[in-house]
Amino acid sequence: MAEKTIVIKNKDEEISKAVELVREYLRHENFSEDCGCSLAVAFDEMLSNVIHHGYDDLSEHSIKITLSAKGKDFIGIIEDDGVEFNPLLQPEANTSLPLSERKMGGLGIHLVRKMMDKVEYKRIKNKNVLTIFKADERK
Amino acid sequence: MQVTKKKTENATEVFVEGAIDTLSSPKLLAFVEEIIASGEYNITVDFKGVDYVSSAGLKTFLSLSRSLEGKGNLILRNMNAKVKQVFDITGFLPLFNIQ
Repeated sequence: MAEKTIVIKNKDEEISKAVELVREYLRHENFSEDCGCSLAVAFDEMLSNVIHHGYDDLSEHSIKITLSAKGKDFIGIIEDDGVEFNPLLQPEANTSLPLSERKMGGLGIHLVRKMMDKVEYKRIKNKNVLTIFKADERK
Repeated sequence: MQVTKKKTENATEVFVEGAIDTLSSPKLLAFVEEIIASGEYNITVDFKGVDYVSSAGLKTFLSLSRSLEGKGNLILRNMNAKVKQVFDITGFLPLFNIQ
């Protein structure tokens, strides 16, 4: 199955561009629109996390996204050269607090974990490598 | 994302088209905060044209809800199932007036 690579810069405007290309790939590979929405949320969360918290300088950085599909599975890999950060080690968001006590920290990765089938993190050659898996009934 | 408003007898209705994500959420927040600043405290956000909502969008609604606390009502209506799922798995569903 065809693999697709997308490279974006560490700017908010690039997130929407990447999400659009991810959805284009998913449509081409016959994944459902529902699956496309879930992955749009997941990529928005993961890329904004890298862009907002991953760098301790003001330089331009590249973030590499690799998309592939095998059988019913979609696999997305995000590689960045930011500071070492494993989002899966962050404390679980408390989703039962009342409105007045709600904090936003951790909600993004909570959404990714709940909406994806599997999320893996590895530190490889000074890069953060986050991989997500999502199965879908492809037509 | 495109956002427009319509004044009705009891509320100001805000119609959103597209994604409420990292990039568009600040724009939506500023749009609705301007309505609140003009003295309109009953606001209905119509999600009919909303494709998906990420945590940046949830943060926007949390912020708007706090701005309107004790002053008026924030109603969120016409969410599709995927958008509702985002509110559900983050525990936001019971915190808002969703119609």
